[in-house]
Amino acid sequence: MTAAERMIAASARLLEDNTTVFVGTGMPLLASVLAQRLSAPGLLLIYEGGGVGGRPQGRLPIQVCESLTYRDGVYAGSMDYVMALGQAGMVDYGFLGAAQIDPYGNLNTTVIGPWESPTVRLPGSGGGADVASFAWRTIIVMAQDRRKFTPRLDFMTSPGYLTGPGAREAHGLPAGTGPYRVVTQLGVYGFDPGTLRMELLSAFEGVRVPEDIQAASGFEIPISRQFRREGDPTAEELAAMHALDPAGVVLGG
Amino acid sequence: MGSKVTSMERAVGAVADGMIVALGGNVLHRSPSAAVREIVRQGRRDLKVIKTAGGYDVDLLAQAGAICAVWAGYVGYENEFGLATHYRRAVERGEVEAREHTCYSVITALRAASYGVPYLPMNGLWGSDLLERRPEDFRVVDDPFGQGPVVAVRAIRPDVAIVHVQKADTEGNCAITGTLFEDVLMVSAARLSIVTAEEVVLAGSLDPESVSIPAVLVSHVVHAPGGARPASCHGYYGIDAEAVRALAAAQTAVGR
Repeated sequence: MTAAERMIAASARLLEDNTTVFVGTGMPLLASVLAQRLSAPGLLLIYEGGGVGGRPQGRLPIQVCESLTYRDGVYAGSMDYVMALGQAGMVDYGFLGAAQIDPYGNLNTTVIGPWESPTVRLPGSGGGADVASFAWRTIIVMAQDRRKFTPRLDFMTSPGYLTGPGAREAHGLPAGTGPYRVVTQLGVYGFDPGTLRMELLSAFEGVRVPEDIQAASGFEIPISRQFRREGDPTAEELAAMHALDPAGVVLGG
Repeated sequence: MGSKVTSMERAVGAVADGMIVALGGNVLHRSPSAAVREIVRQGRRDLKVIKTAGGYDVDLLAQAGAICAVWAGYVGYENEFGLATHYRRAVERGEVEAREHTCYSVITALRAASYGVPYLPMNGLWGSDLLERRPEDFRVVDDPFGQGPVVAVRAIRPDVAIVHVQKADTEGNCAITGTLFEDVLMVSAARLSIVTAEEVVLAGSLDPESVSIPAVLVSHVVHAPGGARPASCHGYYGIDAEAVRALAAAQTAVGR
């Protein structure tokens, strides 16, 4: 069982049927199509490049812009069209990745080091800050370690819960939007409704709780009272995800 | 309208040092790669590029030292191709200014220019460091109609837009198949628009229902089969992975 397989299965399980999801490339895409195949046949995929509703048969689209994103779908639109859909509140789930995350689910995809003279220049927001602003539920999928899970971001690209309860609304972000889950190689995190800080909801088999969780985080992560074990991908989930990515572009060779 | 068909050299000759250049396509799809290579051949300098998500095109311009600033949401290759190495180095060395945006704020800036208004409000970005760091392009203002704060995004009017399409007619009507990205918006926003096309057909032969860009918005038409390579062009070819990797591995220009 690889980390990618676990993260994709856990992400797919989060998506409810008959909702919309704004997808980027890589694991989120594989998770969304997997959910569509197995548990959420009515899930509408909205791709950043403009494709809407594509139901890729055979292999996955490798990038968010290619024509497989609207094949058997509903609309080959434009990027300004799909982003405006998001701005109007039509996106239930948005998937994001990040180089750094803080306890409130704020994300950095811009720079490591100071913005004026970066140590590492990253690709930038892309649609990240947009999705983090307008999706009702943001799901963050990323690798976890002490540097990535940091109490203080080098740059805050995409707003999570900012500084805690009320902060999103005070800044003008729509009430009821924000980070929903964080999926890493160790488990799935949510946000305590009282503090809006990250808490552990489930851990994969073999992960020591709290030792392994805490060792891979630069801030303290409480364990939710609803904590449970996250089941490993089932044979059905594994077969479906490998059928979608036979070349191992996302799953690895 | 007469024929606007010309050579790549003449069309790209309309691009002058220091101009704001909008590039069509997205990451590794329908990028105007051949035109970008011609910009490099003509030795342009100090260009400012605007694009939601740049890939090979922006990285090549950074490698050649042709650009001084980029307004973009994203510059990189996605997936297995990784970071845009030349762009990354140029920004880290301070040679190229990353004018931090998001994909949708780039779209909003272009939309404002295409509407002929100085700025447009957008939902989002609140609380992001982008707002604080980039007051040149973003301001939080009160909604005059009383709905609380809104983010105002300054219009960015490109001097020239360059897009690669599947089919254009000789007068510049363009038929794009597949997703449009923000090409139509870009061409509406720019003062001049250069279209490079896989196929150039006689004026009047395109079905008007298939036309995404009307000729009135286009100043130059160039017949450029393979003009998006190594990026893909829907219906014609896919990504040339080897060529993308070769650019990523190449040396950045030195001694400029």
